[in-house]
Amino acid sequence: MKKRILCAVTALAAAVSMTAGCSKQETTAMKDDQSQPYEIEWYFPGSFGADQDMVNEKANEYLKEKLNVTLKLMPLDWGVYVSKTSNMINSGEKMDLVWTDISHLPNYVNQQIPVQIDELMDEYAPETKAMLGEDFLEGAKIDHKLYAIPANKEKAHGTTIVYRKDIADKYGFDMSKVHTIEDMYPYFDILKEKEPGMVCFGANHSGSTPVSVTSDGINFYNVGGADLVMFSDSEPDKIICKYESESYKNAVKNAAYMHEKGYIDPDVAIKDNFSELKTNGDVFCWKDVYHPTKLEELNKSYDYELGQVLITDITSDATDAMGSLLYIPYTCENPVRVMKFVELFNTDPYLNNLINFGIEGVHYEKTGENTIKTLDKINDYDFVGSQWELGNTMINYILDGYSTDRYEKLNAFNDEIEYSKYYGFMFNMEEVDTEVTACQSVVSEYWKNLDFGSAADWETELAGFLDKLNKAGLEDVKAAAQRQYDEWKKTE
Amino acid sequence: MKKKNYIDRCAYYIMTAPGAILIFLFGYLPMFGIILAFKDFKPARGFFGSPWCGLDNFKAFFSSPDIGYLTRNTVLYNLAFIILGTVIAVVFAILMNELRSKTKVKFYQTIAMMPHFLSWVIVAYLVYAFLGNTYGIVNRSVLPALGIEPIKWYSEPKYWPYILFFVRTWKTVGYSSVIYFAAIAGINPEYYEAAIVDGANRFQLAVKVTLPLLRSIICIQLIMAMGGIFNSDLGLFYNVPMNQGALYPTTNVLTTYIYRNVTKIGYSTAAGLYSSVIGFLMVLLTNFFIRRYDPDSSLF
Repeated sequence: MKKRILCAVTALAAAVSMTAGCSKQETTAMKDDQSQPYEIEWYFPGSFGADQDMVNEKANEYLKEKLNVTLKLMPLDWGVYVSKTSNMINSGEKMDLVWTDISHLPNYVNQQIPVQIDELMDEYAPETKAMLGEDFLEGAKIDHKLYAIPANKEKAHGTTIVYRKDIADKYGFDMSKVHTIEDMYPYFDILKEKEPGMVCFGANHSGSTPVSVTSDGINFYNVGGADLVMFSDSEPDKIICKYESESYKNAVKNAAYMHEKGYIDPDVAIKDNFSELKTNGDVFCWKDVYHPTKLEELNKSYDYELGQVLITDITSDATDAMGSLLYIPYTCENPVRVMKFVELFNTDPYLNNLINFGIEGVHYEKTGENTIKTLDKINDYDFVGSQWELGNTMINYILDGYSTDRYEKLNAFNDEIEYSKYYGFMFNMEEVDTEVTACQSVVSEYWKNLDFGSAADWETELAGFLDKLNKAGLEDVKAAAQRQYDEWKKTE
Repeated sequence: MKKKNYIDRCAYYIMTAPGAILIFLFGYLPMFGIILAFKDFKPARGFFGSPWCGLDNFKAFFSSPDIGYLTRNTVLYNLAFIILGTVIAVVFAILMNELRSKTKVKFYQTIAMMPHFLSWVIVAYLVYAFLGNTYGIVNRSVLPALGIEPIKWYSEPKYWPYILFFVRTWKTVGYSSVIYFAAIAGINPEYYEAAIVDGANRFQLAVKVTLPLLRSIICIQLIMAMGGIFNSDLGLFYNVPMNQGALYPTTNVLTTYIYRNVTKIGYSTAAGLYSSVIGFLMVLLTNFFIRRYDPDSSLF
């Protein structure tokens, strides 16, 4: 009932603001009179702490002079971020720069929410463009048009198992022999006996599941198909559904095994207390996304020492280009100035680090030209670990404990990337919207029981899952994706 | 003469004004939003600028394979809640009325009322404390004591109709019985005295005197409730099953379905309109039957 009222109110708000919205769209010329002040509202997930206003003020002093801009940092809680921003945008509220990722951008583009920024970027953010590189930007485009600016960070990913090195050493586990999750089972058995309070594999609702760490060496390539359709190594150029693949079947079987053996928390499907486990040190290993400086970042966050085992190849697909994006929505009154701001933020170490780490001498102190040590006051302005949301991470100061050559390492890693042949193709799901909705609803019904192995009988559960997916119109989704890809390939 | 009437009633108008204004603001104004159900809503093009799409949203909604079980769940749960819920509330009110001691009445009513003030999120965790796989009281102590294997409550949809019904009754019975309790208190004691003189026992007093006199109020409550037959309590159906996909077959109702698809404005407005229209028809229908069999109890 409440939701309906909310919906209705949103609709009303949309009605009230519609006239403004309509006319705005047409007058958004690529002009900017910098003598006019402009306020930029920047939305992204997370939080800073008590000193946000203080830092914001400091940034404004600087920005006033540089761009005649006042910035308003608008961090929102992760849990409500998507619903809150999409409600705001649906009701036409003013926003200027908004964070999103691959799971929402294509949908927003279909709804004509983000402003197309190819020309804006050429003109007002050339350095940002050069920094990201034309090749990489291809992957962030939808139908050859750019709608959002990717963050500058690692440009490929792999799957890694992060484990507690101190525990592994204590029991003499030889982690160099581990290449798959199955190789760890003997160690898990020892742990279950010797450390009864410890969860062997830390599963959670946001990516670390037994299925996600079971790999048979076949790589999948995300093309924005809401995890329903993608490409795989097994059949080049053919759209497949991961859930129908042999790899997924094996992974589900393995998940059921891990659940039965008690390697994961049996209640994880109901309640995700992963972060609690991690903080208390009650978990031995979990899945994470690999990049070369990941481990030192993780080590910074916990009291114990961590190690990692890479269990897949390193690949690059749309998830890398679209893992962290900033778009300018249609409600922005001055996209040019916002783009200028993005350029400044991505190239100006002072501004960039001010917003990322706070004020020098208050929240951190410098230990070298580019290296810093956080002070106690950082707790009042804590954004450490979320730098990847805000654009260029390669000019962030290097924190105490990080290797000083981390950006060289990252750049070397990025330079070596070979983009997959599917890179740059993005499936537009609009024509099969109904089927996708129906399929997604089936997925949300089944995934927890399958991914965490908590189904009573995985084989019947999986069969039921696939049957329902087909009834929901999976074949149509696959056919549409295949047709779009074939057409895209012709134009390449 | 007429004018004087208005002035006399002025106080009443002022008293109803806040409620009327609220209903106008939140009940009538947003009704224009209904046109979104017939539009392919694009925020950038605004409320009126978005293209019309005819019945596409409805087609999409009705061709969804979920519609069947969603409607079934919604209607069956609500029928159970309306019928059994009313019975339980009335019985509870009558039982309260039978208590002689005022202190005891207050005590039991307070206890029964208490859960009404808990948020559904807290209730959900209370239920979880009982039904959790490993640490839940039921699986840890109750079932082993009875020699029964632990049950994975949150992966087994078949138990949930009973769980949800129980939880809802527990949470709402105190509050919903208040209105019946008040109605009973308003019954003229002379009826009871007359019945006692005729030799009626206490059970007969309840069935032959109290119940018939409660009929109008029960009917009105019923008509009101019927209007909401396609609405469900989001808190109950979303939070209590901990949003578990595996429980969708018995816990997903139209309200939760709309909530889960709320980012698709046109689609969810269509689904919302569908449930409102059915609710409206149900009110008319119920009222029609009641007027037919008991004209005095009907609402209009």
